[in-house]
Amino acid sequence: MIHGRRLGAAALVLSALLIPALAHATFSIVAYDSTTQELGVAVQSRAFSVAEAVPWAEAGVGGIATQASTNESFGPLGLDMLRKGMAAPDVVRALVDSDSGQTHRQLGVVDVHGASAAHTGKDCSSWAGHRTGYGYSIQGNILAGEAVVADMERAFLNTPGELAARLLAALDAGQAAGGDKRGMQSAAILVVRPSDEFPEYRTRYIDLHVEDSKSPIQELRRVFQIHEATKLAEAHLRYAEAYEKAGRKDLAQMERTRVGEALKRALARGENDASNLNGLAWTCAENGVFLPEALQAAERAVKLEPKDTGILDTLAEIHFKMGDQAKAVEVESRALALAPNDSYLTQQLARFRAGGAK
Amino acid sequence: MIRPHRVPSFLAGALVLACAGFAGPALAIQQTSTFSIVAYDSVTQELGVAVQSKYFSVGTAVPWVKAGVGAVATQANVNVALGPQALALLATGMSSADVMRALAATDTSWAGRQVGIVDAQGRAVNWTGPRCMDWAGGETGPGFAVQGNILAGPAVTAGMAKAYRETKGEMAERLIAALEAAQAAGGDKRGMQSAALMIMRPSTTHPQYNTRYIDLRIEDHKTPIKELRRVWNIFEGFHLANAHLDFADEYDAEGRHDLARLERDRVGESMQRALKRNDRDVSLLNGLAWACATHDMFLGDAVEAAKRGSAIEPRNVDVLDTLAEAYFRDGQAAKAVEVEKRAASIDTKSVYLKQQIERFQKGPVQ
Repeated sequence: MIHGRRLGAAALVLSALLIPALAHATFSIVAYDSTTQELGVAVQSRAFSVAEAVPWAEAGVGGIATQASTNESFGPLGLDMLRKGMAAPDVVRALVDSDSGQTHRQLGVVDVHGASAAHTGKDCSSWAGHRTGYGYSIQGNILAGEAVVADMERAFLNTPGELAARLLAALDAGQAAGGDKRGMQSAAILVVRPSDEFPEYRTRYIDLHVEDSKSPIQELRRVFQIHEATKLAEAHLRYAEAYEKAGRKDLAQMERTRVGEALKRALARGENDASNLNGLAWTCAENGVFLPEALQAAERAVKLEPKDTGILDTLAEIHFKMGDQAKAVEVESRALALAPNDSYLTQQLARFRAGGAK
Repeated sequence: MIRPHRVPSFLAGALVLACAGFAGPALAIQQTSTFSIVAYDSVTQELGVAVQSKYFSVGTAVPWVKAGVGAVATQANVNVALGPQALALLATGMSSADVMRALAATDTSWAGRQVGIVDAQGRAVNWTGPRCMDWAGGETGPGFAVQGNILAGPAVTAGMAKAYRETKGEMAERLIAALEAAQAAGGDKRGMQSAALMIMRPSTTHPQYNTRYIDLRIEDHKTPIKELRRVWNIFEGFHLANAHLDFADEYDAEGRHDLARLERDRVGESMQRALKRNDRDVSLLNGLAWACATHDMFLGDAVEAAKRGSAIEPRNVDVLDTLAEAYFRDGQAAKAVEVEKRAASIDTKSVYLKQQIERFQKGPVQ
């Protein structure tokens, strides 16, 4: 017999029926951020490559998690319905009503107005259930107990900051509460966000997979932290620029703050990846925000990679932006000594020596 | 200064432009040294991209695919937006060559871009801008285009094209073979960090395959192609076997029995590959054996795979049940009963196993 990869005996009924669907013993969260218009799904499962099956989201449309004895078609079909303007509760009703295997399915939907709805079929293996509220739906099956979704909900509601951070906090809380009864194998986070200038964000603002790992949530966090220090920092500055153009200075400021928050998180966790630290520090330096934290990060990065001229340049730039011309010159000179033919470093040093205009 | 994640310092010079101008976010100008292949299969209507890069999470940037529309790889000084833009243009019915011209006309940094496109008629084109870093280039063939930049040399893309042409079987196998050939030819000068395999396929009964037939990612790994091969092996034995059987049913319903047969054969090929490489993943062996047994195909292989799975985990009731089912379907009812009794002696409360034993005792398949 076969059921979800390495499933326990709980799914017996399914295999007896020869239902071809794969079982995803899983916990997931679907959520919406009304300020940024982000829609996202985060999920962990004791099944291989959960990203392939469970999370579905499209900017300006909605987010869906389809799991348990997974009917993957709920993803694209549900998005079609949401695109036509159907509300989340109607979408859940329509999908469930049309499915002869509905008692085995679990589904959570959040629409672009923040309305949410979920379904947990009565034949989902216990513990199985869901919690919904404005802007989110949390669901799981074959869980250690109800505390898993309750703690996920609490973590989501109590975590400040950007949607991805709140989704990951929910996964951590779910795992800490016992998580999936049968352990862990894969995880994913998918966040989408409207953008006129960068259409890729509509389907892939954040889209990270952990396909097959002993500690998938931990690995998901690790790759998210790389993403946060590089691509996401870039994305925040792109949105800041777009908001500036649209005259929304408050939102532009918030976007820049996000980069600063990421930097603070990196410092707080004692980040040891020099390029993560450097990426965030440079982004802050370039935009003249969170300079004291940027200085800390750059100093830490230099300690980790003392001969990296790019990192030394970041540190020098921060000193300069903070008005410490002498230190800027000293650090950039060190960089130039390591790469004497580097024309960029030469220009930088000249700029720091000239002082004044930043 | 900032540059792509974990780039060795000898590349610093290349990124001077990115930092010196202060024209916009420094990260916007990143050299993603990369090799990729875009391809179309005229029999299955699959469209796919496989890619490897010394760049974090290449799967979120380079590959863009839509069933019935086309496949795009956007790389080098990457403008990710070219992906969704190209798909939107292809969806209007434009050919890959016309789409490439349209992208060229509207992108002010076109000289730094590298793009490969294949449309849903299999017409493939690629572009390597003169400002892509050495070695950069590619080639096209019927239904595919290979391209790369910051490579060891032209042998990399030539090797990819050759491997793709010469590898038999389904698209995913051919795409991974192309990546492996590229790496064998020296690959990416700067080493490896991430890889992705993305294939879409039109389906009326299973709409998820239109946007997610195969979508595997290795985000940050020392040997991403090897890791991609590893997760692909799990994927093909597990998810893909089900997908093939879905398509077989879809084709049968349309009266396309030849194609239905091809889909079932794919499962058999997966099984043979698993047996040949002596795969020791029990759930994979069990998954393939169950799929074959319950569809009455490749029964000898199904028995063999279940036997191997059972040898690794002798007290795994699921695997024993699969072995029993395979024996039964293969006409060996006595052995089926014996194995299922062993399973029932481990899980004494199972109603399902008792039903199975009764069914096997009644004799051959109806």
